[in-house]
Amino acid sequence: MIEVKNLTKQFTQKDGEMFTAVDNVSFHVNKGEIVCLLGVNGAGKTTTMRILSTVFEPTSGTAEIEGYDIIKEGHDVRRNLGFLSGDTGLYTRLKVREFLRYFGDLYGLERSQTNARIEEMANMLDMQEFLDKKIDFLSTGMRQKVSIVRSIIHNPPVMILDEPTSGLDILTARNIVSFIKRSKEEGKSVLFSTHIMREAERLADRIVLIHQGRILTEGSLEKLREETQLLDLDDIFVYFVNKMTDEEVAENEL
Amino acid sequence: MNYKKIRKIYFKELLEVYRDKRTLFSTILLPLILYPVLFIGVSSLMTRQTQKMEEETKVIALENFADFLQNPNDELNYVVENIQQKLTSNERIKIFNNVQTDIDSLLKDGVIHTIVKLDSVSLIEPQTYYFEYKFDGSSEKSSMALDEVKKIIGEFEKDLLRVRLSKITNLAENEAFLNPLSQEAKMTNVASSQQMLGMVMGRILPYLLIMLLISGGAVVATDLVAGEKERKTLETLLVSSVSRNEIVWGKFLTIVTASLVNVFVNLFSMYFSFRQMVSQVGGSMVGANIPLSSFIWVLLSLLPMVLLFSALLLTISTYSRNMKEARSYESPIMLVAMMLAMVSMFPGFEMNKGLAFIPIINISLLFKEIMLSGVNFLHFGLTVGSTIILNIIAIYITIKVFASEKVLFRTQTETSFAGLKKNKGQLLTPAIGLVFYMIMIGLLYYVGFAWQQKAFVDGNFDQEVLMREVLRTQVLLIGLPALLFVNILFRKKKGEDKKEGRAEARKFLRLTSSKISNFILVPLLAVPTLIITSWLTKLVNYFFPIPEEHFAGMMQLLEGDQLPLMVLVGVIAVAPAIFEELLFRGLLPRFFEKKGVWFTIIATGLLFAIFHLDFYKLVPITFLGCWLGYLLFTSKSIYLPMLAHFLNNFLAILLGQALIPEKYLTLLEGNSVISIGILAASAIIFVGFNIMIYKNNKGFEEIE
Ligand SMILES: Nc1ncnc2c1ncn2[C@@H]1O[C@H](COP(=O)(O)OP(=O)(O)O)[C@@H](O)[C@H]1O
Ligand SMILES: [Mg+2]
Repeated sequence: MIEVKNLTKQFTQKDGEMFTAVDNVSFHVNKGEIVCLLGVNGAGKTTTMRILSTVFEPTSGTAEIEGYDIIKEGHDVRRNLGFLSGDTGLYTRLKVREFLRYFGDLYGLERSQTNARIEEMANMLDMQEFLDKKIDFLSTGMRQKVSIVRSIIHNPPVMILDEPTSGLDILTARNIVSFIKRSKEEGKSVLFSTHIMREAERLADRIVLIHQGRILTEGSLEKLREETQLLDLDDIFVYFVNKMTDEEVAENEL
Repeated sequence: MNYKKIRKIYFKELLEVYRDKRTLFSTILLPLILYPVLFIGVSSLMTRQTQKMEEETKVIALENFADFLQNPNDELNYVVENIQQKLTSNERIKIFNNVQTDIDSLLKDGVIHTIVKLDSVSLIEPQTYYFEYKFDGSSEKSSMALDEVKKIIGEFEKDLLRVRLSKITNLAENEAFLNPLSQEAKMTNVASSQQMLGMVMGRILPYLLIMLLISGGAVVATDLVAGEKERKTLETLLVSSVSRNEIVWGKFLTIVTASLVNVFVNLFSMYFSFRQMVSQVGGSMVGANIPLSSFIWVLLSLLPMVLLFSALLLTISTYSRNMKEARSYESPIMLVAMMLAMVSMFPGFEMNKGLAFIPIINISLLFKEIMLSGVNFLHFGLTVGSTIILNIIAIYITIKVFASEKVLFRTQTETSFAGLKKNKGQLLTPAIGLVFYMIMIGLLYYVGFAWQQKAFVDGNFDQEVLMREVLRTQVLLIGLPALLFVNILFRKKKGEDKKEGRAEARKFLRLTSSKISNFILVPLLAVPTLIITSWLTKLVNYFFPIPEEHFAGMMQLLEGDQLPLMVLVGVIAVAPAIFEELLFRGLLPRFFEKKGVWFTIIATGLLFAIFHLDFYKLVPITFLGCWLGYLLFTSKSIYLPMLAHFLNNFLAILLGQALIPEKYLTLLEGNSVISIGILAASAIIFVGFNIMIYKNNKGFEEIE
């Protein structure tokens, strides 16, 4: 379960003025559901997710992960959360197995549990042959797999994946997409972000459209198609962006 | 907090640190190779070099000697011939014979090493010979030649004396008569070889240890947070189920360990190289051992400092956005630490109760003391205790910094010029305030002091000139820059309301009225405040005895009767009350006040004290400065601190001019019951009245 309530995040800009990166955002992700946060670069996806991961504090509003408040119960939130983004890099001086064991330790797992989990995931994501290599020597795709295993080494009920397939080749991307589907079947709540419309179409139960920090609309693909009478998600997205700018213009004229 | 997780982080960090080949090389391998090469190589080279130079022949030219040869005077003949002969017969000396050439320029060229000139001779009894030695001070060989020549001539002087004496007494043949103070005096060095070695070690070791600690810790600290930011791994750690405190402790302990490893590896390598070097020059280490207990005390006192540096380095690393930035912040700290640590190398610098409170200097001197004379428990306790307190503060700050999103994920905040133009309020940050303040100190030091130096000519001083220059400093270097800065902030463009700009500036400087009752309460506080500050001065004096000359210099400004009292009052009391207050209570607080009123009061109070550039007055003036800041924020007006500043300086003038009857002053002296009673009463009045002022004005000003 993820429950986001009126989340707002402001940053101080270079010229000292405030900039609202996330503007009063609310949505939720149920158990066994995949929700996609869809928006162009700079829309505020990563910032929203970083707040959910407790790395940033919200300026106002809050959110709950498995019923734990991200501001007050950060530790419980992190225990129940698998988080992956472009900013969660790997310790390249460690070997893959060392790296994963380290995070197993940090999540308080027994060594035997960690080892079993590594075996299981390595088989699923086809990682056996590089488990004992130094991360330094791995390719981007291999690293992303390691990152995914790292984020769910403790088998959390909630997963937040920020652009998990960006920069990957088709095979690895497919591998990861099917892994996300499988996680859903295991009853996990998955929130993932992307700016690739096709991926959202293929994976998401529901889509949350975000633009300039604000939520344009949300719903299943069918619902959005019905509402806009448009077929293509690209067109649907542009439709809502235009609608928002129109509303803004109208507001300013008032 | 979960100790198991801290341990996991700690071991993983260590694994990473020592798996990195560069770190491994620079912290372990390099020292192991460097010292043997450095010590043994350099020392053998040096001994060989010196030996070679000593053995080389030196060329000496004798100037004017020929003019005095074949002289009818017997003794003169004897002297000239003997000196020539003695120099010639020395196998390491070659006499330069070609007298025609310009020997002075040959000396400069290094062909001749020393010229001995027989300048003149006075033939009136007793005959006197005037010599001149010319040498090249920049050449080691020339200096050696000079020493040798002087030694030979000095020995001959004895022979001459013997000849002269033999004419008047037959005792001249008696060696004891000639050498009454016994040339072969027995040399007994009372320093044990432990002290000798301790002397050497005590001077160099503290400095080396401190440098090693910082440099060893810095490499690792930079990598641990700034490096993680750069490699984008910090967030991976933050989103896992560890708390930030656990991360801080794990990383902190890693830095501590790395620092200690660095120290041990270096000391180990140094010790063996040193031993090798000693045996090479034929010495022995027997009896030159420093007792083990000394080393244990050194290591014990080292530990709090390791912790302190580690916390400091970790804070810097956390604050920095990348490793390059971290290194650039570390370098000034290293520089300061280096300079402070160097005190152990200065002869005559000894540990005392006051220095035990100054970080780094205290450890440096404590080491020296332990090496030379063993541990002094008072000094040990004060040093370690004060370092531990600093330590706790440093660790607390590190944890706070690490928990602060603003610091940990600091983004570029370089204020752009266009942005500044739009919003001048952006200039009012602590960082810009500090830069402005430093420029002011620079002006005072390089310009103001130069002006005031004019009053001191040949040890005398001209009070009139001094007063003129002090006034000039107050107006041009303190008041004017502050007003110019305010002018920049509130200058209006053409067409805008100039009057409004001036009104804003006045409000900014808090040139605003305040309750009359305030101006009645503050004068009542003037004397108690002066009594408290004088006790603070006494306290400082207890720890750091104020040198007599320094005290005299301090009073010089206030004493002297060359000028009418009104001039003194104008320059020393009125001018600072206006100009220093404009700077320290008008402008400077505006840079800090967003951080809170108390922070601003203490920060500006401290800056005010440092501005006086007098170490001994630091504590009392900080107290005074804080009080003036307190008056500013309670009364919301600069006029009240102006009045208080004036009264304080005015009383100081009265004291300096001896205008206060002696009988009152004697009451305050010493630690008598009366004087302590007066202090207590002053403290009570001070606190009570200040609370009254607070209430009377309904608390501090609210800062928007
Ligand atoms: N730490 C930060 N400081 C200042 N601005 C930031 C920071 N992080 C993100 N932003 C700004 O917030 C906006 C949203 O960024 P982000 O959430 O990364 O977008 P997305 O992930 O949707 O591409 C961007 O304009 C970005 O410049
Ligand atoms: Mg993003």
